[in-house]
Amino acid sequence: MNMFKYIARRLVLAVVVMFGISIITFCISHLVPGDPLAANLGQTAMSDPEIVAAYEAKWGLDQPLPVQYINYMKNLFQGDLGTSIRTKQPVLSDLAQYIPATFEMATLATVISIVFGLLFGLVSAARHNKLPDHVLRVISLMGISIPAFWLSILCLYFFYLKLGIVPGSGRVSAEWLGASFPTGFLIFDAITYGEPDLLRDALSHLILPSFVLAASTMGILTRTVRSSMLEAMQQDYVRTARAKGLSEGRVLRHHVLKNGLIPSVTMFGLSYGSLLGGTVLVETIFSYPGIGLYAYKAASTLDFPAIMGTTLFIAAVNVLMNFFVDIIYALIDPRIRY
Amino acid sequence: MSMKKVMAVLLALAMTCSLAACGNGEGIQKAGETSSSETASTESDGETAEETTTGQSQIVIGQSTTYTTLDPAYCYEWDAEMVLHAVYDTLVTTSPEDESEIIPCIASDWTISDDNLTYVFTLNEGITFTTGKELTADDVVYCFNRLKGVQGNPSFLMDTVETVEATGDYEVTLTLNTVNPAILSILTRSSFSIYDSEVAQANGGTCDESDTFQAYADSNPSVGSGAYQITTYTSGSEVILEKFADAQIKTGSVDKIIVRTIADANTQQMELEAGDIDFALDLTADQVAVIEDEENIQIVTGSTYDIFFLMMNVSEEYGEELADPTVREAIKYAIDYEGLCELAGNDAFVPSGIIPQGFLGYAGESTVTRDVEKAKELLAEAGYADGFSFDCGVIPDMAPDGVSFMMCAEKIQSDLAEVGITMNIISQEASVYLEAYRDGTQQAVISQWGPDYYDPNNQLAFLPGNTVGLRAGWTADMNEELVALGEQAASETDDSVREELLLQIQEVMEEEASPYIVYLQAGRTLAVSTRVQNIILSSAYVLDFTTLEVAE
Repeated sequence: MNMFKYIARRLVLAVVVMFGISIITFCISHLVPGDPLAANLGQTAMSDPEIVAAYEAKWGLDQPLPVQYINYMKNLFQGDLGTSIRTKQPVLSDLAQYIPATFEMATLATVISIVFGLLFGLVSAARHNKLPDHVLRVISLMGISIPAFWLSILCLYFFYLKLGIVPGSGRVSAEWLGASFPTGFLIFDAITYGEPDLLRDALSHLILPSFVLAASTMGILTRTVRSSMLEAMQQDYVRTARAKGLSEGRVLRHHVLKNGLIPSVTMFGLSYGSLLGGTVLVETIFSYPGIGLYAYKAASTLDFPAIMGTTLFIAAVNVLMNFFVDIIYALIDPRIRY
Repeated sequence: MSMKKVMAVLLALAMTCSLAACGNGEGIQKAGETSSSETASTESDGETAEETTTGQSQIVIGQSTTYTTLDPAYCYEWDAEMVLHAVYDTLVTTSPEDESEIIPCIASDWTISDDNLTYVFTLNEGITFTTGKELTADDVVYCFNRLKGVQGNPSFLMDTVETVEATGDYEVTLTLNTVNPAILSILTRSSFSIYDSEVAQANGGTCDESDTFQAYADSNPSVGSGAYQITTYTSGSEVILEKFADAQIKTGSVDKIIVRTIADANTQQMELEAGDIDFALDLTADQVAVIEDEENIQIVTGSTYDIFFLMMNVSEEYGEELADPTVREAIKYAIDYEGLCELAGNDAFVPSGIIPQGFLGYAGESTVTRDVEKAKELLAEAGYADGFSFDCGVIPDMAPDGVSFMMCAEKIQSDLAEVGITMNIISQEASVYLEAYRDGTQQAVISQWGPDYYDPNNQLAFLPGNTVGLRAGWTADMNEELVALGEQAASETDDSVREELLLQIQEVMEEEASPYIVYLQAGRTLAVSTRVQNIILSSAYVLDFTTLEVAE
């Protein structure tokens, strides 16, 4: 099978996965106990049959479940994700509004977690059972075990309130609130339209939540990289390299790193999806208007179109990342046959 | 393919995605840039409490909740009232000095027919919207009809209104289908806000369910006649209001007010301490105690109309042991009201009935105090000397007015345990809780009631056969005396007679061991920067933006 066939097969599989996810999400969100009417109407309005009937008809809740699903899928194929029951805006425009914030945070968090995870893992493995190894293992353990909301509050307290080296919550300072940004990706907009003040402001607001979001993934990556490095260091080819008289640095760079990093590539790729989906708590504490908060509010008000929209988006990102990981994996590891 | 090539492809893909997301390429525009309200920035983030470069004053308010809409015909969130109150005018409004008094607003005066079914309002002339158009009777008729027709959350407020007619350019006649002594109070609600009907009609506004103006209203500057205009509204993030210079009725002093969504109360506290926000609306009693002595922070207290209660189902099927009035009486004496008020902080107190302080018919503070022995005796009398257990539904993350449902539930649970009653706290998602609550199938719940409008008639929902009563399994046939008294009170237009009736209703409810034990009426505490002055709190709409001033 050549590379193209392999990619085509992965793409078909991705579509099947997305279809499955749409059915599962639709069923779960409709079968969980709870009533969207109760969550979205006031107490008195809920007792008014006319308002209830109008509400059900407006949001299609009076239709049988399979009909609701077919209608949803029909609209989906036409690029219409429906209208949010809670915000009354098209889900697509809601997503367009919230995705850029989360995208920026998750992307920076991914970069941070990969850079530091890789660095810490390598140092830890190279200084196995020595002081740096112990210190970095403690740091990675703390990153994994401290809950994100707690770490967020602690970081805000020290770095914002006490030291004053980062700004408070939000995505931008009050100065930029209400400004219209062409794409919503602030970093991109600031660079494209030459607004260094905005770039500085957006980055300074982004750095702390991104670090907090990255903490857990960074810890996991540190441990993964460390263990795969250590495993590679035990291999015969490393012993051979050393026996040839190569320097330790050269052994690490050309033999250990090259082979030891292969298992970590999977982690790098998948971490993006999990960071994207794991932003709820960080976004709450940092008042960061992203998709995590939007998804949380959608779930708590049983806003079906919004739940479907956010789930499908995050699933699509995960499927895409998996797809890229598979391709990269096949490229960098000659043992993988496709 | 080499790694370099793969990376290049990935990078190109990422850039394509970013570029594909590009919008119209108009560039970045700061809010109000065209109206020259650019703000000064001395540090990276400390500018919120500063004046703007053009000498404009600015206040930033931090609050935890987000609005789903700011269209008056659909909006039904208590905390949006403060924004809408500042942005729109209503026919009549409440007096800031005494909120039970109705005073003119758009209407300069009004007459009521002898049969109390026809209200004729004379409108002030010369009121203009932010669009420049003058407000006339046609706008009032359109806004009222739209509120009724769109069948949104607050549409039921129009239930007793039969017709609204423009009987002159500046005269509106409201005809009711039944006598409603609360109608003037109802008209003070922001749902009855008047906005430019021509703009609404030109942008999808209709007076039926096909209305689509809401989406336009939420993404464009507001078109009201109030002291402020919403210039930017980003759901889940911020609302920006700017002073409307041509406002006629209410005028503001501060040039720009930003209401920021800061979901977490700890973050609100830190931002207030750092001077990045001027108001923290959602601090708990514990947080207030920590910062109240800070030099740059003042604590402002006020009241609410919100009552918190334990509701017990009185039907045999769902209430089980709780259907027995003696058991409910025992529970009443087992609860430590003082302790609950202390936990709630913010000047909470216990009203003696379903009508909160501030409303006609308020029966004063409760005289019931905890009496464990009496509770045990009553339990024995009911045949439960060894106690019993029941389930109580609680929404764990619900904390209106800073009073946590879960905290109240845990306190009541421990109080009841002392008399041998085991209250099982059933933690439920809001939609699950509310569905069972609406169906009247919850055995007991911890609940709160904030009135739909500011008149005691709204509290009649608690009576048997009415909205809340049915949720407690309290059907009309279970107490016909109360039903009759409720019907009388609902249509009585003489306030002194109405007050008598309301007091009598509460007495009967007390004697009959009604399904509700009202354990507190919440107060309101705001932590505010000392640079903000002339702060007037409202039980109805939290905060009056129009009186706020910034110290020099």
